[in-house]
Amino acid sequence: MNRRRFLLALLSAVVLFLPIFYISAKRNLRKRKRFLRPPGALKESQFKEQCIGCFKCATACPNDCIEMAGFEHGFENVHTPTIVARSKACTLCMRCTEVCPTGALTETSRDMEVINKEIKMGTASVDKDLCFSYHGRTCGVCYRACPFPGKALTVGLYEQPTVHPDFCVGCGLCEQACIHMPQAIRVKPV
Amino acid sequence: MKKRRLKKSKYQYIRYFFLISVVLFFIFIPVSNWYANNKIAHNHSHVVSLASGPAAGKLYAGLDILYSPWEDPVTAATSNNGSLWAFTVLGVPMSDPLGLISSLLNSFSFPVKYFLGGLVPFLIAFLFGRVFCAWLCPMTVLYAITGKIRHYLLKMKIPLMTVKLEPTTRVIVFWGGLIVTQFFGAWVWHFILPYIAFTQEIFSIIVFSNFTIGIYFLIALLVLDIGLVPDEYCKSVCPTGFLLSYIGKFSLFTLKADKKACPSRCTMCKTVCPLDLFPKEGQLYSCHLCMKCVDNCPKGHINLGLNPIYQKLNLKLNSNQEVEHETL
Repeated sequence: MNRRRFLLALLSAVVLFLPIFYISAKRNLRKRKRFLRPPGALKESQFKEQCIGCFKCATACPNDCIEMAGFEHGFENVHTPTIVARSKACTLCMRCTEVCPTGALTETSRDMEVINKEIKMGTASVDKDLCFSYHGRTCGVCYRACPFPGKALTVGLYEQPTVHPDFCVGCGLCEQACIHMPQAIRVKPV
Repeated sequence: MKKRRLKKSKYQYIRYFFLISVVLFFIFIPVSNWYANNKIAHNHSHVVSLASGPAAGKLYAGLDILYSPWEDPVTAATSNNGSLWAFTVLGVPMSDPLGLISSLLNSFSFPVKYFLGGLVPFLIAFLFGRVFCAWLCPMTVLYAITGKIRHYLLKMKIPLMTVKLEPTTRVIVFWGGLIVTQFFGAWVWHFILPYIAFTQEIFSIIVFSNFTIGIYFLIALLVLDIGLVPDEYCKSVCPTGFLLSYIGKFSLFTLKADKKACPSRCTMCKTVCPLDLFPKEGQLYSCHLCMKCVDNCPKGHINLGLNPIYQKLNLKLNSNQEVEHETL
């Protein structure tokens, strides 16, 4: 095979991929898909550069909450870790940050003070139209699930929850625990 | 015409022992993960058997015994982790050499753990060249199975095609993959390298009870190997094989044939080589040390030895010593 044919084959292979990338990026912008990353994740652009999709965080997670994305979040996010808080939330054990080889997940200690300061996966937000406590029924399940009760999540009359964004790390335990269907409190990813 | 059965020696048994061990290791990782999850959730084999059935309870109890020497069984169970793209075994990080190069070009950064993981694979490649392919790659096991399936399908007179690919295909795949990774990220390799998809799908099915999209790629590749391009992936497509062959040019040890002692018209080694190499004549840097030529050479002329390019170096050093001796 001579050099010209080789270069042509290479070029055509690359060119075939580019329209898929363009279309996928446009679709993502339109639908604004947002999803949680594991704790300690770098800023999204840096994260996508560093993450090699090795599955180490998923295999080290004892809670089995880290799922590796398929094509649903776009081409750039295939086989990168995501967390779906409603199905299984993060228990902040930080094992994923210990095993990540490229540092896409920054290693963080297991101390709760450090976690509250360093980790920001997202911010919880209460939908007052859905929440039982805002409609005369006493609930408070999200408050009891929160790892930072009284700090990130406080309750008032009828256990009505209030999120304090400065202290919420976005672990999603409240969203997993919510007994309303659909959940009245959900984490908005950063 | 009846195909002559290839001879098997102890090399083949040792080789398959290593291959099966690797596959078992990448089944052991998700099973340990499952154990850690159940330890946190249920913490007793009886509760596990109530939740997932008596077999699960017995498996949990067995793993409990295995991890009992450790203080924290959950940490111990998740200490071996990863896929063949990057993994940790007994605390030692291992990284795929192709992944390292791709990552370096992508991000121009040197994460310490990731690059330390490249030490062992590069050392093995420098010592023996492409030995990963025949001794450690789980796809060798799968391709052996698809080879047998194809053999029996052909025996049943089912017409299957045989298309040969040009060996330079793997050069295109290597460079094309590196370029495309700049636009999309590391996941592109997961759909070019089936050994990554294999380990990741085993994890997904055991821990999440479903496959990721990689399974379609893997099945497509195996079906193609049976019906269209048999034995062509390792020979002409695999970019990791290409990279390891390149390193194999400078490997310390290679298989060498005693060409002068070979009968002039004998081509036994070429007939049995799965990579279509000719040990008697040619360059063996693509050789993955499957030892089939060593087993089947009628005179036993092929052996593992020092790479000829280093032999000249050896001779030069020796001759220098002799000159010094004389002047003394």
